[in-house]
Amino acid sequence: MSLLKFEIKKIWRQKKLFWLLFAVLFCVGLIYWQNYSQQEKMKERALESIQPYIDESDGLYHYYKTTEGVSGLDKLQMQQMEHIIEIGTVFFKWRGAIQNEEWGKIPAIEHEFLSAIALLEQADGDFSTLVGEKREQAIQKNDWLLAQGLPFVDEEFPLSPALVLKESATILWSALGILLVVLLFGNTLIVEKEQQTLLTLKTQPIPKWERIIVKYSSLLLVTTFFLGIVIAFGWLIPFLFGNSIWNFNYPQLITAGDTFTYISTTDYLLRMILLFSCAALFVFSLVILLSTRLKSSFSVLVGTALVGGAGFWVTDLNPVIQMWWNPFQFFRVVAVVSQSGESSFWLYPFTAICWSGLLLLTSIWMHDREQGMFMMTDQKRPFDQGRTRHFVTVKASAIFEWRKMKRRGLLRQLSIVLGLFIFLGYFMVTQLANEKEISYIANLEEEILFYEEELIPFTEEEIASLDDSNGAEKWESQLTFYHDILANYKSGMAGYEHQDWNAFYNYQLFENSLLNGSFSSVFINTGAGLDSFTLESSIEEKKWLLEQDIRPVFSGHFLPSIYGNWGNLKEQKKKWHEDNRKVDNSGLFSLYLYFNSYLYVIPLLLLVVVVGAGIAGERGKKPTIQLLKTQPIAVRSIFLGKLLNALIVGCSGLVGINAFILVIGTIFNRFGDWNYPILHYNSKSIVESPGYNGMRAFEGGYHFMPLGEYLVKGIVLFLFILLFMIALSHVLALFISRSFGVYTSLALVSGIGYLLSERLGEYAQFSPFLYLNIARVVNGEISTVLNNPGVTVFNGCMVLFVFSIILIILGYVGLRSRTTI
Amino acid sequence: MILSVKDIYKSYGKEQVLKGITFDIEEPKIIALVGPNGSGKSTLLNIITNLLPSDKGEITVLGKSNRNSNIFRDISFMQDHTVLYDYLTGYDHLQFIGDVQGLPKRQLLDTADQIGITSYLNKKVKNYSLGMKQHLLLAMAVVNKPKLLILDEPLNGLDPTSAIRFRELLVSLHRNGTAILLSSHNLAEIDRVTSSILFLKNGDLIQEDMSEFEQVRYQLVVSDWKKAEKALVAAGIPVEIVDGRLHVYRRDAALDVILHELEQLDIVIEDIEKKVFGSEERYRKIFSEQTGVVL
Repeated sequence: MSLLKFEIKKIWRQKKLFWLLFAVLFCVGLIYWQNYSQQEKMKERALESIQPYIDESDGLYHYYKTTEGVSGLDKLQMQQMEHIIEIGTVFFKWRGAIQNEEWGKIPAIEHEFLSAIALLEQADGDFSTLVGEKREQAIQKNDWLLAQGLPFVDEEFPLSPALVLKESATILWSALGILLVVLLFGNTLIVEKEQQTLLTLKTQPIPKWERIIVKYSSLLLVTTFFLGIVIAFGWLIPFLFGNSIWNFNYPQLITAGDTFTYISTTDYLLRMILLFSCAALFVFSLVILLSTRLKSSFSVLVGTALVGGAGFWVTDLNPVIQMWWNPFQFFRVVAVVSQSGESSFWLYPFTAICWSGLLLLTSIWMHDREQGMFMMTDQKRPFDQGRTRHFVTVKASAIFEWRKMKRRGLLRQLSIVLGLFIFLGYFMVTQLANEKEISYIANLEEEILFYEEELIPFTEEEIASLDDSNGAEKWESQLTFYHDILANYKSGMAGYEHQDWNAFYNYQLFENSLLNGSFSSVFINTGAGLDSFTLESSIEEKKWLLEQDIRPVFSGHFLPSIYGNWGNLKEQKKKWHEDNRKVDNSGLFSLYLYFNSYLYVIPLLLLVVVVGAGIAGERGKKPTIQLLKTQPIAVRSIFLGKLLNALIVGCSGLVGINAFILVIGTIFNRFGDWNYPILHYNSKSIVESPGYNGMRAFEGGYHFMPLGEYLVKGIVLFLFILLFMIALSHVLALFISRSFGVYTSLALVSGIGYLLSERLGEYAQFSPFLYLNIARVVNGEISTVLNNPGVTVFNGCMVLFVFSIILIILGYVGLRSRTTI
Repeated sequence: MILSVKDIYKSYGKEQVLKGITFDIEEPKIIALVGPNGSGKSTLLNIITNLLPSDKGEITVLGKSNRNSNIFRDISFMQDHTVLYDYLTGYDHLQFIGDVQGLPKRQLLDTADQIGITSYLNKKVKNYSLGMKQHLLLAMAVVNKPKLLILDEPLNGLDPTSAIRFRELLVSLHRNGTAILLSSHNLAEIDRVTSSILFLKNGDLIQEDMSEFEQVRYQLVVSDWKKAEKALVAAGIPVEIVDGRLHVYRRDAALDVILHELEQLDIVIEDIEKKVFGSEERYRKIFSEQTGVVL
């Protein structure tokens, strides 16, 4: 007990709990602020959420009306039309309630709507936007709201304590939260080894198992504290600043296979707490094990991140291993909580205890070793055969920095970690690309079979059974159309099999044109909820691909874009985007995925950690700066030397990483197509300007850029971002005494800077932080969303460069006037 | 002028650590800075080397302001081992200094050899013992053959053999024209290398030339101490009587004069003991006054 007290005291004195508190407060505050700032559009979103239903209702009404005018309605159709009219009346009330912000009335109105659909179905009618499981879910949720007397709530940007807490928990009690706690407290054991304070404990009558268990317990206490502050802030902030309903019974959907159920938000949060605790149990036992085997904080943190990240990734991509016995399932907190049945969910704590017990026993049983991640010899050969040269001070300082970095082995560790990360990522991309291709072709085969064996024979039978020549003519034209579609599918399949990409793209083009309404047929659901931007850009993409004769990238016929009105069909939207997301393992496309999936953030973070500590890395418990200051070098030369080394290493590393991805993709597949089309959005101002020569859709303008150009721009922007981040971290390091403080401040400044940048409107292009989102800058998305044509890659590079130079000058000049650092 | 320290004040919060410290080192000699823990020795050395700013005062080193980083081409400061990079080798440290100061590789290796660190020069510092680190720090401090060498507690962690070698090295550097300013707690070692001592007391400097203060005391047991006392006082030799023993203090240690006086009066000398008074005695005197406790 006294040892645990001592551990807690140490954690308390280190003030890391304060940082944790601050991070949670910042995150919850930000969520609340963001939700609060979106309240003015709540009505708009509520209306959007029912719009697909209204559209279908209107469509059906017009269909019945047209049919009534042409051939008259039978009795059943009359009943169906009555129910459609009834649904239309409900929508009138529903819209009124939204306009008047009578949120409490909406569940009852929705109940009327659902009842009317049920009646429509009883009359053999069909309301396709709300069918099957989705409708069952809507009914159960509505029943729950009515039973609990709960109003309609904006689930996208909620303000009620229960939902703000749930939203905060979704972010903080996820893999990200685990990462935060591990970053802050994961070095608790290894740092004792590094600073040799462990010897103090070892020379006390305390057995090894007790030391390890107490260390582990202190980490679990920190986890409890973390859970507690998330609950406290998640509840307190909306409670203090909001005027919302205090009810934790709001329903949360839980699915398990084909079944689903609703549970209260309280139950949902309790499940999250349990699963996050399981994740903490596992990850901290892993940290303890690695701490007993390795010798430096960096090795332990990178090792934990590598094992945890790889496990999480592999688990996330392979449904087969998403089982209760897999400890990496714990990191998929939200997915597991919302997709686990009662029986399997309660096995997770058992798994966590078993795994953590096993890892802890291994830590206790095995002898401590003190080695880096990679074995090294004891004797080190002097650099440059030990020769000396009289360098100018900045150069001497930069060379000394480089030597320190090499001796620490950080570059080697970083290279190996990034190499593993790239290999693993590439393996995943290859797997995913193959799956997508196989699935796409299987779907095409199914379609062919469907037309051949079901739709065409059925239509032929219908024609044979018809007496009315008018009706038969209509069916026959439909049959011809089906034969055209089938011929097109077959041509597409043949094109794929013989690698005749023209035929293949013609098939896709036909599909796109079909949904774009180029062929009129009452049997084809034109548009299928897709916006004209998506449809038109998809067609233009196929034309480009045909012109350039480029090998296809699977899968999907369409080009996902930022546009599209999906209302509250978020799951469908997500699925559609995933189905149409293109994945390929060629060199160029792998690099594209690296940018487009924000994977570039990982090497950016690692590079900044390795080279970004600046002068802060020389202070703290080992004030080596004192040694440098007793050499004939001005502190500003040390600053410039460090900066120079960081820039050279950082930029070389960055270019190396990109080249490595390209080489891996080229070796294991192919180089890729430089001219593969990448969608570039054009902002409204550009589209409306005279001389605009891009393409126009109803929602906005666009053009295509070659993949190679996208990548070159992405890499160049990335280099300038790195320059800016390194300059910023080195200047921050002049004022902050610890490396950790520099990294935290850098993350905070960048995060806040980015969020604020998006609110700068017409001046946004002058904020260097805006360009951190490389993928969205290069494809013109930010420029379009903000309607700011100034947000371009070129301007980004200029702004980042100018700010970097200003920062460097400020640091240099500031050091001239400072007597101490 | 090698070093000029003029009217240096330094406070930490309300506590004034240095109160107008002034002293000069005009010629190459060894000067020791002595004081109890927390007396401001390290603070003063850090201010001299511009690692800490003073609140007031001025320091010049070899005619240049101490704020000019180029002074470190002519002076060196040996600090404690926390300034070493654990993950670098000893040679990496020396090579860096060689690069910055333009010293040839031969000079680095010779210095390493002279200090006796060649055998472990290519091992990482984290594998060094405290003594090995001290040796490396010393090598780093002397490798550029400084005109002024400043050492903060250089004897910490040194075994007797190393301490002797270290003392010999200091004397050798001094003979070759290097001025040395060192702080230490080891008064016996200080007495062996210097007679110039600066005592820091309550933030004030008490500058002492031990060659003036250093005295020899003879303690004599004689057959008639009253007669002996009269005779020696009459001869101009001051005497103290403690427990019937004669205590005679002579700066020039002229024992033959004392013996001659006593012999003339037929006083039998039954026992004689000689004791040399050094910095430790002076330290006891100064700091007993401060604390009121007899050390």
